[in-house]
Amino acid sequence: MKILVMGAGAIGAFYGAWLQRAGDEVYFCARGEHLRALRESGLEAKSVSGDFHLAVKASSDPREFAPYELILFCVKSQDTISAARQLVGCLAEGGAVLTLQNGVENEARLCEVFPRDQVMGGNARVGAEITAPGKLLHTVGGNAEIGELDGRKTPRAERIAESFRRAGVLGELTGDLLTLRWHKLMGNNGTNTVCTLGRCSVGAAIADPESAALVRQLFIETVWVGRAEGAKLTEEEADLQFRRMSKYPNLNSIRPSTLQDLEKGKRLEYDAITGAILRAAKRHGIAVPATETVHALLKLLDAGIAAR
Amino acid sequence: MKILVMGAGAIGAYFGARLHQAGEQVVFCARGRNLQALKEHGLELKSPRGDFNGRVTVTANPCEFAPYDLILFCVKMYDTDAAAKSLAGCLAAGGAILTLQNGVESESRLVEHFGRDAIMAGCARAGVELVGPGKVQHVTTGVIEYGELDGGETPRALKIAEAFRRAGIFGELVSDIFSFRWSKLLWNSAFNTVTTLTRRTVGEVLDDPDGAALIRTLMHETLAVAQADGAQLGRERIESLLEHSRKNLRALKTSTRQDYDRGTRLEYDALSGGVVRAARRHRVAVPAMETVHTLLKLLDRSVAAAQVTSSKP
Repeated sequence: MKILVMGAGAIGAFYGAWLQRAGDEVYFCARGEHLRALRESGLEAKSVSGDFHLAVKASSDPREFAPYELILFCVKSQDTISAARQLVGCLAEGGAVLTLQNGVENEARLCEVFPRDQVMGGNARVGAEITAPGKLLHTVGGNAEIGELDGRKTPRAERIAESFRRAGVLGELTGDLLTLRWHKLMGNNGTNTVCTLGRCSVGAAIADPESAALVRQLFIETVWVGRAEGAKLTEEEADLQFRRMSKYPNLNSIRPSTLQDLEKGKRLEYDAITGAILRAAKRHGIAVPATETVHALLKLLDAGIAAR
Repeated sequence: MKILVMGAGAIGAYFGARLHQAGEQVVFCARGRNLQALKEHGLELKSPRGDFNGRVTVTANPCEFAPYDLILFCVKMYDTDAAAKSLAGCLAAGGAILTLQNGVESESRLVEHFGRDAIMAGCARAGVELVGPGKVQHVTTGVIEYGELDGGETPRALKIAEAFRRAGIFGELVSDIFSFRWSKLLWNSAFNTVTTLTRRTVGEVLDDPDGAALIRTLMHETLAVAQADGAQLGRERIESLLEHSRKNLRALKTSTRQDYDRGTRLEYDALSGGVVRAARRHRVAVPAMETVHTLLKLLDRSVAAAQVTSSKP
């Protein structure tokens, strides 16, 4: 399959590399230093499943190698609209733009630029980081959960799932994207927020009983709002997910993407996480005090980064 | 009056300098690079109310010049017990240890060391920053409200009032220092915490509607705890503090934020921790304060870990 990775950050670089190694034809759209490194030296990956080096095809212009059967849409949520506009006309007949971004609002935003039947959604369940231009660090996981917006198992969805399966990174092809997206958002709301504000790893955030309680509270608040939005989530599932997370290997080296942004002095992708939950909570009249507090703090922290 | 400034950080150095200028016999107790700079180059104070640049008496050992009539106790809360131990036998008969530390818990900690009669409490309100070893920048305000723990107008309290007046410290001897201490904590536990977690100034936080709402939430939580703890404070105090902050404190860099920027331990536990502990005692719910307290605990540990890493050869 001919695939464009739109945004070769940690998530894009990870899935692009894995798909290419399994035989797909992959192109990476990147910018600046990272693009230069990818072009000149390829992708240098350090991974829990084995290190490797990969020569890659990279460009700053997604049209250069268009059309694509699949576009993995992996830019930061604050860049969604501008990146989507660059992709107009880049999709092959019957192809799909599959967002693996954080949050639950990007599918709808992409539908403002693409016809609805060209958009698919998914969860990237992977711990990864671009540690330097052209250098990928993979710390945990890798499975992606993907699906059509209407939940149908279309032939293209099956084909894409097959590619992910061959690459060893298919979680599931789901008929209930909404539930899975909110499930991931739950994890993001608990860990991206606390680890960014505390400048610590997931391991440190849940080692302390008080901060573990805060992470859990943020999980639970996400469940309340997600359920009101129609996701099939329960507080039991939140606790189960918390326990699953506590058993991840090398927890102390897992640094959520928003923390990585902070340490690199980049804008924080908080609005797709806490902002999305607050907007939905407001629609349903649900109180989410902990989310509200971390949202305000992250918004202020981000404003300082923007002002620099 | 013979005065020891225990802890020559921004607050101690500022008020100590003013008392020294007014002719009091002031000794500064300091450590490390600050001690060395004060010894070698004296104290350098820059202030809109007049600079001071001169030699001062400084020591690492408070016993060296003991006994003292007054000890201004200005160390960070986490150094309280160690500093208190080093002061054993340093107080003159009838003298007072006046704590200017943040929070509302230092009085009782000091009472454990020195007995109730020796202790007085105060609120230092001054926009000051230790900009380098031995160097203090004064930005705004410079007031100490203080009093006896039982509120009495004792001879020693009046003597201190006289010394403060001569030094141009617009202090006030108050009969309810406890409420003043809570009032200061009402401000610090909201602004020091949020400005440190976000690295923004007081003005920048208040300009953001979500930031202003968070500050208000934190203040209302602390007020409920203060009232349960017996402080005479009402809701109007929140409004007056917010108005004062908007008008006069926009550019203020809170002391905890200064800790963060210097990469030193964060004095957050006296603030958010003090509120959270009192809230538990009185069974008052303080969800937002619990959240910022937890986040500061994590941030403080990360700062400490980074210090260890960066000091490796």
